[in-house]
Amino acid sequence: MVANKLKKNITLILSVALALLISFIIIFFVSDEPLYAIKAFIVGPFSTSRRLGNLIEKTIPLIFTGLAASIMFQAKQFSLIADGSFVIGGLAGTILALNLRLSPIATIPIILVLSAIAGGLCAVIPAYLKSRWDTNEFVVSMMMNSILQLFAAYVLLNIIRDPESGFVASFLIPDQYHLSILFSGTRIHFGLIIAMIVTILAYILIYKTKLGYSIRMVGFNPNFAFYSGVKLSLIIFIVQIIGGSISGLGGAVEILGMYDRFQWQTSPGLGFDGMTVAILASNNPIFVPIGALFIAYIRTGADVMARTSQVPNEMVYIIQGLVMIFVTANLLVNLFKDRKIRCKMDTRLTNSVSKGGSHDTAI
Amino acid sequence: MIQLFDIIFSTGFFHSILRVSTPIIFAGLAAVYSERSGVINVSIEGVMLTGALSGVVISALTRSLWISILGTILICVLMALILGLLTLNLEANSIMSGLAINILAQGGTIFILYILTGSKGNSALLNSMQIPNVELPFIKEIPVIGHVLSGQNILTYVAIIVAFVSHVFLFRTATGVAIRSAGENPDALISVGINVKKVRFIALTISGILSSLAGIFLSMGYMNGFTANMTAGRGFIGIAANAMGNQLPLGTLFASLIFGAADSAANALQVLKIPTQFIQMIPYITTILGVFIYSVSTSKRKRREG
Repeated sequence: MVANKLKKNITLILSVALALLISFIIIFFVSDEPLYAIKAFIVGPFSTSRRLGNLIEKTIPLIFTGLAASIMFQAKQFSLIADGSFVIGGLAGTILALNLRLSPIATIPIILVLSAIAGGLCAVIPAYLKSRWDTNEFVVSMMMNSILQLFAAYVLLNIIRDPESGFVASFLIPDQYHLSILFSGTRIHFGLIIAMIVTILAYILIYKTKLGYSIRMVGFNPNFAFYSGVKLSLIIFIVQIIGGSISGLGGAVEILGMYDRFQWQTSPGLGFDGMTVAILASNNPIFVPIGALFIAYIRTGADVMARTSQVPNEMVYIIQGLVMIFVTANLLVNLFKDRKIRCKMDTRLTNSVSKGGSHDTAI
Repeated sequence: MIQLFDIIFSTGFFHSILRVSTPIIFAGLAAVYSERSGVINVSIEGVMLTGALSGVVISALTRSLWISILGTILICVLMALILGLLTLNLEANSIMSGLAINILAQGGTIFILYILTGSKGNSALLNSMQIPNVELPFIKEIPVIGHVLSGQNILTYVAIIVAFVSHVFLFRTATGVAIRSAGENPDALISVGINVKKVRFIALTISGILSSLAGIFLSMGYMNGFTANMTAGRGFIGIAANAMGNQLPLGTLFASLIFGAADSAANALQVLKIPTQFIQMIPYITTILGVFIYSVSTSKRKRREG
């Protein structure tokens, strides 16, 4: 078991290394000064305290969306709603901050809780349709994301837009509702602590509670879970709502921590990045911050590289896609050993049968 | 309101439905082949996007439509086969691998566009070619239908023909039957000595070809050139059309036309003073409704049978 885990971690690190290696090769082809670009990419994030701050600031929202994705993936629910929930969470946080007139100590928790609920509500349609009618949650959540994003754009442009702002953005969020800065000289905010708390809670939920056990069982083998008395449809529903809520909370934290005004006319796409984070963390909440840190690191590095050399920062997507490919391919080979053996038997059977007959002509 | 009816009951409106539906028909049929064979292919979106860029780039470089189409098909088939390699040989989760390919395509297309043209937005600097529209000789003369059917892009006709051919192919040929069995009952295929994996790779190849045509249509027919993320979820709407069309080629064709109609209606509705965002939601809401109705009907059927 321990050896297995070690092997999994080694393959994970190798996958990441391989993805980085391939992207460096690409940089060699497209850049005039490839070594300079690669150096900017690798050490750039650590070169100044501001950039180091950027790295941590970028990690915070990724922790939330990464947790959302990993909890849903634990039950094998491939809902992408984290992206829409994140935007709506941010929007809800903005609207509440613009309208609530209470003391900040009381208001910020209320804003965060209500934004989380808003994020959870976004997930209701795909979750309910999946649990009740077995509707494909992937397609429905994808469509919901577009609808939610358009809704957010409508509210921004028609209701909360500040006409005096030079660009399309909401009214100024009152200063007292901003999350406090943790380290002066950076913009690292209190959201980091909230992210850590949610990480621990998510870990406890998945690995230390009965609900978490049911969630994992549904993911591992839904039939087994069903016949063991797990309310399958309830778990499928709940897990997506939890995912949406965490992401919604993340959206509000991001707005209150990093922005003066709501300005997401298009989604920042952090919900999708959360899936890469979840994969890097093997869907284990406790490892999500590490995965988030890695994605934030390549983001920051690519930004530095794009500013100092000719390599566009879309390089990040290439690295992310490659990491996802390598990790999912390897991870699953390791995770589902017995399935692999069965499939091997299948192919052996196929081969022996096809050697015996001449049915191959059928194709 | 009268203005709206004028638009909806014009031949131009129906003409635009066919045009708007074309990429969705291709994407939907791509989904039919892969899902029929038992592989969930989420990567259609990314493969389309890659196809859209490569068609533009190759046609600008070679000044030959044929080379650009063939080259694009080759690239897209390669991508579909990578998905096959990941899911069939390495047993990676198909949705995750598909999404990974989409992320690669989304970033990779902008990356390549920037390296080639210095722009991250569109391919205006590339002198790319167009797939022509054609007038249909006799149909053109028919009063109303002629206006709707004639003068479409060649690929629009190809899409409709492919839907009908696919119906015959899937239900009347040995390979088609093998593809369907690979999804419904792979053990039966094994028992008659057919290699399931090989059948799935064939289905994915066809899926890749169709996705590439969807992409080519977008950048070389629907629009003149490539713009970043120009697929805008059409690959996913295609997957939804396949689900709504009950994984039948003709059902998918019909579902795609409904989505196309919703999209065109969204354009027409802009004359009413409804906020644009709500109008832009219509195709997505239609998609959710479509997938929902399909799943209700299948779950009822399952309950009757079981």
